[in-house]
Amino acid sequence: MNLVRAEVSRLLSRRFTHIMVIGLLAVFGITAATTLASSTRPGSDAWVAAEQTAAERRTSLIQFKANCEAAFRQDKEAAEAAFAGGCDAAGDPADVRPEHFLEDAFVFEQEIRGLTIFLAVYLSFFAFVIAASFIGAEMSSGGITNLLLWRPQRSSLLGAKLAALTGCVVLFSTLFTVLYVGAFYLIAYTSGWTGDTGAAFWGELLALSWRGIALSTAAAACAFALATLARHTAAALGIAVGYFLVWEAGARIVFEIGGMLPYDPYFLSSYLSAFVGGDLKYWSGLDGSGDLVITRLSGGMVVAGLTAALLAAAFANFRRRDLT
Amino acid sequence: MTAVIEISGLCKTFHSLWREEKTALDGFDMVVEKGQVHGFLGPNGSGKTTTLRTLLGLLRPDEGVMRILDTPSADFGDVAHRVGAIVESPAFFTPFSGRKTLQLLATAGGLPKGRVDEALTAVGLRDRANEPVKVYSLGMRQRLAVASALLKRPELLILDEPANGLDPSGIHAMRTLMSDLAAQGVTVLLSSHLLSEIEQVCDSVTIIDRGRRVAHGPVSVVLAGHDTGEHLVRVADTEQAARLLRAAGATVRIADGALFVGGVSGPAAISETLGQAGLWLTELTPLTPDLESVFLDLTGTRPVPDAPPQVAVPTRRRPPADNVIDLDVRSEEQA
Ligand SMILES: Nc1ncnc2c1ncn2[C@@H]1O[C@H](COP(=O)(O)OP(=O)(O)OP(=O)(O)O)[C@@H](O)[C@H]1O
Ligand SMILES: [Mg+2]
Repeated sequence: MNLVRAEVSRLLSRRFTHIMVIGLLAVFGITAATTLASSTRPGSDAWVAAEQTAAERRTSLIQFKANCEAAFRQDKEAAEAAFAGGCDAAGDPADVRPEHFLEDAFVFEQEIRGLTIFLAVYLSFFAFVIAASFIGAEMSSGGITNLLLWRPQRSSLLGAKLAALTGCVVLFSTLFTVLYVGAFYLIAYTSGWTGDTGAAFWGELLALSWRGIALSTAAAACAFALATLARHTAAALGIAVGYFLVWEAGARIVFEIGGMLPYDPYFLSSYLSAFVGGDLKYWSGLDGSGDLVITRLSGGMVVAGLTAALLAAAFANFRRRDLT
Repeated sequence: MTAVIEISGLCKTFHSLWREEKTALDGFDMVVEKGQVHGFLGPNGSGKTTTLRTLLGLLRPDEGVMRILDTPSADFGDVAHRVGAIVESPAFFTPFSGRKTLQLLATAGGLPKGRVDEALTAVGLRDRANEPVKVYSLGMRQRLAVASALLKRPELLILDEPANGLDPSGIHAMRTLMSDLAAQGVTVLLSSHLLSEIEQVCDSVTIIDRGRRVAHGPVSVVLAGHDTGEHLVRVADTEQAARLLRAAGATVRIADGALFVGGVSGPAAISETLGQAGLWLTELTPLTPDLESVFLDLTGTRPVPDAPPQVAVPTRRRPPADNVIDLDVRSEEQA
């Protein structure tokens, strides 16, 4: 416990941590400020206009459905080719709501999902960098050797560092998510439109936020493991950057050019996106045939499995290695 | 007397994919007894730091048995709170201040906060404690390292070249600190290249060369083992004095205008022989060996003209070298 306290104090005293948190707040500040600047509270004119656009949309949907059904009655085969998704593909007219067409207003219910996914990505990025530097600096400076003279049990030492780090990341991510969502709600409430936010909506948003927090924690744990294995902050960051450049970007282009479908299952990003954003559909043919899916569950399992494997390797290696 | 550190047959070879392997320790033995200030000497690259690292659980030995404070090295964790140590120039996370560095260690070890200031004062860093380690000089970092070892109020203090970079006053303070600690019953194991310091503060020494012990025992005994019984003599007429002394059965070398006389019963015999012949001594000094000459002889590192001695390449030497001399009278008495 003493060890965890010391590690929390070490993490929070680091200038790098401070800079990263300031960076995080700056990104947040900019996003919030631009949102605020581009949003106005809809007046009655805006509502009239939105209501009108919604009505037009409804009419066109009803028209589309009618056309479609007529085509099917006439020539089923030709219609199947023309309306591949069926007659309900364009959406249900009853779902069309005027707030979808509020031009200048920030509508919380509409936008927060995308914003929360963005939050998950950047929380994970900052967590990764902070974690890599936290342990990497210790490994390369020899600070860890000093500490081992005090607490020679290597597994519990590394465990305490990991616990301190992930604990701080979970706590910070949670608080920051509350601040973030709260700030956007406030923007919508004061100079935008909150929209239809029922219990189901909040439940879904809560689950999404938790997955974002889980992802940032996993990112911190992976960075911790990589920096422990590689013994340097820069090495851990290099591995991550290298992976994304060479594999996620480079190999994707090669697959694309070679027409080798499906390639989605070979990329970590597919699983990350499935885990946070929900089931990811991909196709095994260029014509969109043979649709397959990476489920949220399998995405989550890949994230958890990767983190566990990296941590296991880091602990096993650190327990045995010579520290000079 | 009880042994605080016992090492026997310690072997450590460093393996690397890219470099050839290096045998840093090749069957090394060491015993440090309770309450001693024990000097640990050896040329560069002879394996001192490797020994201390292995003892403290930072390196995994290939072979050998180690006990520290009556505990097998595998359970070092149980006694770590009683052992204060610095190994080589310790590295700190330099953006933190000296005080913060010690506070983190004190928190990790569950020690009261007051110890931090006590340790900082003991090493003379009190007034600079709030500056980042980044701006510390070499000697200040070394002082901080010693403070980190003192923080635990250890029973056993292991210091690897603590005087590295210290100014004369720092070295003096270090010497006083050692004697004070020894007086309080703390056992100190001290590796150093400052042989005159070692001679002043240590009760006994272990000398290591290429991963093996080449001498050990109380300082006086190690020195006595190398005492040739020679005397340096200066007189006006060197030639005649040499003739007279040889006639009296002594062995005489002449160098630098002085006589080196061996094989006599004592200084009185020399002055008597020469005085009776009317030759009056201008100098008569018994040549007692100092630690430096013993060290240079034992480790084969005595400089020769035009050939700077080179740091040895660590390789495994089997079977055991036969130049190991056991000067530890105590262990002989016990045997
Ligand atoms: N990590 C390592 N990998 C390979 N060889 C090493 C390693 N650490 C030490 N050695 C080798 O082991 C030998 C003993 O080194 P060690 O640091 O123990 O010497 P030392 O007695 O402390 O020397 P010094 O007086 O210079 O501090 C040296 O030859 C060194 O090159
Ligand atoms: Mg050394």
